[in-house]
Amino acid sequence: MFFNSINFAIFLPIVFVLYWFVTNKSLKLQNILLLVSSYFFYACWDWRFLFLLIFSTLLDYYTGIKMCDAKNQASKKFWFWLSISINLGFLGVFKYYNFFAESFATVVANFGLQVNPWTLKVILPVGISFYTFHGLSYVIDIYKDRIKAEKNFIDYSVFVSFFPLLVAGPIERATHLLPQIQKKRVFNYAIAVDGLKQILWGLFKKVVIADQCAEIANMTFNNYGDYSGSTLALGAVFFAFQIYGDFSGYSDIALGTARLFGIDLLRNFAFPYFSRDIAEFWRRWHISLSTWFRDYLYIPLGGSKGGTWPKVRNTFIIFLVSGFWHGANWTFIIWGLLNALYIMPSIIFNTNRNNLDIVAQGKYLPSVKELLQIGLTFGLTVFAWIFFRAENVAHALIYISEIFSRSLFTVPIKLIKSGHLTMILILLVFFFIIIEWLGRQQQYAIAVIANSWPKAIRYVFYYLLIIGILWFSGKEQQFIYFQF
Amino acid sequence: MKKFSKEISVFLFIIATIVVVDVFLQKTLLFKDDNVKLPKKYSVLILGHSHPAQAYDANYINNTINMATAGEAYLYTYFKAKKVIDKNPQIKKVFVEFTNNQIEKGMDNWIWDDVHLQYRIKECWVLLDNEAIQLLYNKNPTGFINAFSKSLFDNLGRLFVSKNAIIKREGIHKIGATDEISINNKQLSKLKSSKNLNYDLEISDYNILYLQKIVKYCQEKHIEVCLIRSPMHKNYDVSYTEYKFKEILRTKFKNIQWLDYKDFPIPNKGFQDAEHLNSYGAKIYSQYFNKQINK
Repeated sequence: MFFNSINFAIFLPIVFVLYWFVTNKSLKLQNILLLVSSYFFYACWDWRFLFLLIFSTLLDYYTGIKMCDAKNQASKKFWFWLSISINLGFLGVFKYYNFFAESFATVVANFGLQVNPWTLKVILPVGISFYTFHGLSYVIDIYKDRIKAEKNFIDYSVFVSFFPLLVAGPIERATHLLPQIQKKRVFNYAIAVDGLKQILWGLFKKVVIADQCAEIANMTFNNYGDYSGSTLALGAVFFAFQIYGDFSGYSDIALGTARLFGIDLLRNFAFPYFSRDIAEFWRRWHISLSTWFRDYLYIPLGGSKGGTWPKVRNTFIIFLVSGFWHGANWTFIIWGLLNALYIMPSIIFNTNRNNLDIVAQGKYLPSVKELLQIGLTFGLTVFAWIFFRAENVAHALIYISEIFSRSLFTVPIKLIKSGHLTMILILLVFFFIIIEWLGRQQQYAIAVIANSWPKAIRYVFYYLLIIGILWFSGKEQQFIYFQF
Repeated sequence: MKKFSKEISVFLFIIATIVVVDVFLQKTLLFKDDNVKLPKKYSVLILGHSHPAQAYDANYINNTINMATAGEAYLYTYFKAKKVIDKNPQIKKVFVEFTNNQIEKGMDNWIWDDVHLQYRIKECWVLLDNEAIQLLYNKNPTGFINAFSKSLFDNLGRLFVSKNAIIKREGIHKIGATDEISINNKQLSKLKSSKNLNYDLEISDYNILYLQKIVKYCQEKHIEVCLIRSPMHKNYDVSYTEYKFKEILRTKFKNIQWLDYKDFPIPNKGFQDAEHLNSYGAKIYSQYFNKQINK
């Protein structure tokens, strides 16, 4: 069940009505409803993997309690490592086993040995990277005595499988989400309206921006031999907007949906394409994952303590792991590596916390310097996205070499004439950038943009967004991050 | 909660009202009589998909209008034909293209896959009956709703901007083939190499069912109906479907007139590709066809 599907449009109001009108008298009933609907939501993908989700939930719930009840450190350690190894074991088997088996065969083949590795013929359980990381953060927090184990199985299960965040995050923390699940929720008009607006904006980003940009990005990436360097460069830019619209659109829908149920999820995006350097970009892109790696990997490795060399090493490690988290492919690892290289000067020269504020805060326009910084950061990001999008490393390298050919300085005429409404799309992206810029000081772009307008005009604005969504909706497109 | 429910209800009520008005306007205006009526001279109608759309240049065929449309499955042809025949009693004869690819399972996609629904629903949702709507919805609910909601906007423009009715535009603007592209050697060698293609043939029952409905409707209206196969390139291999094709013809369309011009001699430069004539090929074939039907 995709967020942009008819099924979800039916599912959500039903759960909403049951939640606020039928089960509203009892917190326990509300949580049971959330759990049942979350499992139903997940089972719509593939009911067989529901057992994996339930097993993972049971494992962390049980080991959490065992760690809390442990009489000594050794016992606590045992339960901790048991949970970590099983969680990572599942992730390793489903997500990485084939990659390692095939990579091993390739390496061995270089020495003249022929190995036909046994590979798994199963699809990746949707959301496994996300709910595994949920569980891991919970177990690590208990082990580090930051939190107590949750005794209520229903509450804990809702924390792991709450449907808005189940398949593609944000990656929540027990310290943030569990208290909200345990507390009685009261309907709040302003929050619910805000949630609906965020869902609307998320859908617009996904259907109008991401799915339309995807058409051109797919065209250029799949047929790179047919296009000029300038067209391929434009295709990469379109992919940058595709992935941003897709993933931040998903996150907006997830956050907005959770708000309808009185639950506040962690913010995942903060207008990353207006970043002035790569360090700022990574504070604004997929925030819940970046902070997860910071808290559970970077800091335990020593963080920025101990001088430049450990800082450099730790930064490389988290970017490589982050790349690998996205998928078992060398393209993701190179993508991570490139970002590590981009951020390295600011790590070495200690300038990575230079841009902590919002660009051009309180102003309509950025300064020329800021504009150049934004442009450079965006350019570097687009370049790295080529690896992220490519099928394999060779594909990425050929694509890049085709971009940097003489035809880079030609007009991308073939794209304009390709009949894919390119000019309309460029205008749409331009409109999108303006709205995002105007709303960059808010949680999401249209959070306050229309609040001061008369009701009728505000409605017209929302209707126009809906018309845009319906107009551009066609084939139900999967969200990119569902595959991770 | 009361305020929220009220606001949402008002917001949705406005959308619902707009949709109802839009649907009403499309139902009443889109296919109103003067937009469907053809000039009296047209007494012969050609229907089908891209093969006949490109093969019959009505400029060379007396009293004939070619309403064949690329990518059109019989379900849509049926409703279009019904409307045209109802409003044009001068039509005495209907030629319906019946060729090998129209029996294949892939035709189901032409009826209800996302891409085809986008076009077809826009063109003729107003004409569809409940049974057809139910079929499309059951087979592809998301695609159908998307296509329908999109057509609500797209057709609004047609109501107020374009004076032409959909059927007329389909017919008049698609008369004859206009493309000058000719089949090339590369395509020809590919065709040769694809010969002896062998796989289990699955049949599109829905497409055949709606062809039967077209035939039945014409018969009820005492219109002479004829199934016809337009020319194909000699290198284009249809042998793997031919047996089944002939069997369907024999069993389901037993008493229906059948004209087979598959092997009509057209030079290579008369083909756009293996299945489609270009304007040169269409001219040769249409002139011949005109003589045949007006003997």
